[in-house]
Parts: sequence; C-alpha cells; structure tokens
Amino acid sequence: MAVLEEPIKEPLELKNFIDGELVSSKGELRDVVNPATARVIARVPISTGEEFDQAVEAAKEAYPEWRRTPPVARARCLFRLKEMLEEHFEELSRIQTMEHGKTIDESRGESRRGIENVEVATGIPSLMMGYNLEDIASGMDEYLIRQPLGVFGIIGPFNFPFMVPLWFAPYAVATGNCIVLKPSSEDPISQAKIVELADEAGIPPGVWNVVHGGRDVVSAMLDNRDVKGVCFVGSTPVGRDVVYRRCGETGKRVISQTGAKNFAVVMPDADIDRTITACMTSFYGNTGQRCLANANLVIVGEGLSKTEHEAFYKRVVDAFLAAASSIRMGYGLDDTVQMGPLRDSGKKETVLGYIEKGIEEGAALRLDGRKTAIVGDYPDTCFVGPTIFEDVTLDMTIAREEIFGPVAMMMKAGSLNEAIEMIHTNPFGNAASIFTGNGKWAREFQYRTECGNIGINVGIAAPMAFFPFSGMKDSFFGSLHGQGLESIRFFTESKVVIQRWF
Amino acid sequence: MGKSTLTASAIMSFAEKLEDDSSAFYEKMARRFDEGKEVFLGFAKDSNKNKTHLVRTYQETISDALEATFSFEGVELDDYDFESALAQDSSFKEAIKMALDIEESVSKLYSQIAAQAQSLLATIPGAFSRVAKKRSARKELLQTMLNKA
Repeated sequence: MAVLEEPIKEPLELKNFIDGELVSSKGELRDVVNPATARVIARVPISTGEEFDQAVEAAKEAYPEWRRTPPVARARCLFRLKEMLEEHFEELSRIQTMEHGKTIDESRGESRRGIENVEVATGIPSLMMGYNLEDIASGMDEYLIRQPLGVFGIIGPFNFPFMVPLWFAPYAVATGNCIVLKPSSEDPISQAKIVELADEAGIPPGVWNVVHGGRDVVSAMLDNRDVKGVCFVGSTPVGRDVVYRRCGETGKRVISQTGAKNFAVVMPDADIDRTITACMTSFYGNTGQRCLANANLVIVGEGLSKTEHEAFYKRVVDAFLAAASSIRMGYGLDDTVQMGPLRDSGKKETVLGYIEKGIEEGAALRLDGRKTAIVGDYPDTCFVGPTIFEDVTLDMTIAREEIFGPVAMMMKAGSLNEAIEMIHTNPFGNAASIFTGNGKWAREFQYRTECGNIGINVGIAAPMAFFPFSGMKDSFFGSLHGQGLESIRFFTESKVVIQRWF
Repeated sequence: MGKSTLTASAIMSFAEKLEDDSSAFYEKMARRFDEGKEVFLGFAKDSNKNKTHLVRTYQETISDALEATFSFEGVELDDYDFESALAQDSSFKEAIKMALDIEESVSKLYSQIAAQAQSLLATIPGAFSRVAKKRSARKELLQTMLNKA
C-alpha cells in the first residue's frame, strides 16, 4: 500500500480573502473533516451577511480600474495564475482528496479540468471581441462591443471543490468583472489556496474575493443589489426555488446548474468491454457524486428476439457486476484505491436510505455496497461501496430521484425509441450516454434526447472548457451556461453603437 | 499490490521511480567506468527527460475522460523493480550485462502498459510506447559495448 504524503499536516484555520487581505470572520468556525480518515484538517468560518457585503464593497471599488485594465494585461495575470496552478498541481490535487475524499487520479483530473478553464480565459482579447458591419445604411456603420457589468457572486458545490468555481471565476475576471466567491463550507480549502495564488499572480486587491460561509452568505449574495449576477451549482430545490427565483426578483443574471438523474443506453452492437470500463467511471467515479454520473443503465433489445435480449441483458449486467465488485475502496491518497468515501456521514445516510427504499419498493439488490471492505485501517463513517439494483422500474424512487452516490439501476428497453421515452419521463435533463457502433442510432439519440450533455460511447459527457457546460429541464435554470463563449456572453453586456459622421 | 488494482496513479509513481533509479544507475556507471562514460551520462539525462515526458503526458491528459476506476490487469510491478546500486567489485562487463537486463525489463513493462492503456486516450499509450522504444534502443548500444569489452 502506497499512501501519498498529506500536504496538510495540522488543521488550517481558514480566513476570508477580501480586498487582497486574509481577514478573520466574526462567524463561528466549523470543522472540515477528511471523510476517509475522520480527522479535522481545517476550520472554516461561517461568515455573516455583513462580511459578504464588505467583500462586495471591496469588489465595487476595485472594479473601475480593473475594467480599464487592457484585456491583454488581464490575460497576463491569468497566464501567471495558470503557471502557478501547474506548479502547485500535485499539492492542490492532494488537498482535494483530503477535503473531499475522491481518489488521487480523480483529484488530478479535477485539477486539470479546472486549469483548462484558466487557459481558455487567457484568450480573452480574442474571446471578448465584438463585431461590426459597415454601411448598415448609407454612410452609417454599426458595431457591437462587450462590456463587463461589475460584481458577480459564485457559489461552489461540494462535489468538485476545485474545478466548478473555475468554470466561472476566470471568465468573470478576464472580462473585467470582480468576483466574490463562496466555496462549499464542506470542502473550502482548495479555493482558499487558489485565491492566494491569484493574488500572487498579480490580480489586484478586490478583484477576486473569497467569503466562506453558508446560508447567510448566499442570502446576502442574492439580496445585494450591487451583485449583477450569480453562478450556482448545487441541488435543484435550492437552484430553482431559491437562487433562480431570487435572482429574478433582484434583476440578476443567473447560471443555476442543478440536479440530475442520468441514463446510459447500451445498444446490442455496443463494445461491451469498453462500455463497461466507461460505465465504471461514470457510475462510480467520484463515488457517484457527480451531476454527470450515469445512474440508470438501460439495456436495449432493438432488433433482438426476447430470448436474445435476455441473453444480451445478462451479459451486460454480469460484466457490470464483475467490474463493480472488483473496485477497491479506501483513502484516496492510497494510489491502489479506485473509489473513495462519500463526502460526509450525512450523505452516507442518504445513500443508505435510498438503498433501503429500493429494496422496499421491490428492486433486486445484486451488489450491496453496505457491506464493502475498505483498504487500510480507516473508519467506515462515510464509505458506501458500489451497489447494483436489478428489476428496477421507472416509478421506483431509486430510478427517479438523484441519489448522488455509487448506486446503479439496471433496466431494459425493447427499442431505442422506448429507451429515449424512458429518459423523457424523468424531470432532469443534464446528461445521457449511448453505447453503440451504429451511427444512425447514435444520431437519433443525440437528436431526440432532451438532455444538455450527450455522450456517444462516452460515459461522462463533460464538456471541455471551450464548450458550454449545458443542461436542460430541471437540471438547469438560466439562459447562458458556464464555460467557453457562453460564459463570455454571460459576464458581459452587449453594447451596440450606430455611427454616422457628418 | 494486487493484479487488479493498479491505478493510473500507481503506474505513474512506479514509472517515475524507474526513471529516477535508471538515472542514478547510469550516473554511477559513468563515475565508475571511463569507457562509455558519455553514453552512460546520456542515458542518465535521457531518463530524466523520459520521466518529465511521462508525468507531463499523464497530468495533461488525466481528466474524467481518462477512466478514473481504470486498472491495469496482470501487471506485477515488483517483477520490474531493480537495484540501482552497483557492486564495488563489478567489472565493466558485469555492469553492462546488468544494464541490459534493466533495459529489457523496463521496455517490456512500458510496452505492457502501453498495450493495456489502448482503450484510454491515445496520448497515454503513445507516451509509454515512445519511451519503451527509446529504452529498447539502448540495448543495441549496450550490446555493442559488451561485444567490444
């Protein structure tokens, strides 16, 4: 067993970062616990609404000068930030494993995906360009310019503590806005590190602020009239009923990326080995705590007789079961481990509740994650192993609701059409995957499926930084998405100039 | 380590160690034997480059597109570990034979990793194949030195 060295030796006392300074909060301190070892690794302040408002004041003050800073100079700050993130790549990745529980491979993947957003945002002199047309009327020209708006708020989720805030922050700052970022209070350490690196990279005081906390900070963000827009990633009830609604009431722009219940569809011609490999990551990667994780596996019998469909279903499920059974669980810094714990014991309770519910509603438990061995001597407070249910029907709670844990539901559909209809019965529309060698089926799936992110022979349809992270139905509330060009539009106002010279 | 639990991280840690050990081994060879000194120093330098290349490829490729729960089947890393210390009384011939064994073993391991990683993004198997080829090419040079000795 090779456990990598922990970068955090003693519990850290986190502070807010406002106007280029680390500032102690008046709020209570809450423990940040490593879910694998159950050790306290930091204490995070639960800041007050007033403290958030102070950060907004600092951001407002920094805004005029930052806005006037040429895009090429703002880009240079981001180039330096990118270099610093690369220099601290391993440390930041290990911190993510300690604060969240994911494996070191997953943390490094998250670091890479986060850094890619900084890389894309360095292209701001090109990305922010408007467009023009001569002679819209005789002797008259018209052009469009993109201007920043002021201060934006960012609310990070617990499942990707490093990457998700970077879907927004680099673009907001690159376009000339200032930000106040609230990391998840469950795993706030990597964001506390990033803001210090941003400061070292030369981003001026007040441009990139971090205020730790919970509901009070979120409420203050939503109520503050100087906050021009909010980016949120989290649950559907909060994202829809609180963030989206309140942003509408206070006239803010909003990106609210929320819950999911994703389906993977396996067609009879799929490459089973590669499909199963992709499914393991998709269903069990990040211990299922991923809005792009697939949860319902639909094995399709298009063109097969009933007996053939049964045999195909059995082949897929047996292979899935064999692969899932061999996943080793433990502390993510042990690099023989393939799956870490859930983020906390409450989340474990929730997942266990869903497993109970599945049994109660008549699904057949083929692999029981409640009884899983852990590599190493660690408390099982937050661990749940890969779990598989068969005989799952669409009306069951486990098939409808987002479990956000390592639980896979096996289902059957007679045709691709039926599989797509099954997906459409679900209120969410975040992602869906199809595994097939047939281009016609793949196109049909891509064309008809009402989900924002489609994977074709890809288990996790995670858009790269230069594409928007999409989402539909109950998985997204807003108009423009995070990442890429859409985020440039989100963080800027389009101003149109029509000119004529006498 | 069990056969079914070699994660990408474990493989990379081991590859880094192999290149570090190789570099240390050839530096010792260069200090001990004037004959072939330049070649050994070149190998040592090249191992450092190999390490950088492999780590960079991994760190720049890994994302959720690289299957996080992927495991390398049937690879026993212990079989490929080697002792980089050179015995005090080793002759030049013995040292070259040891180097040949190391190169044989390392290139075999890297080829095996490259083959297993075929289902991952192409950059990973590509990087291991490239380094396997480079390590294998050393054997020819070492064999010539052995024949001349």
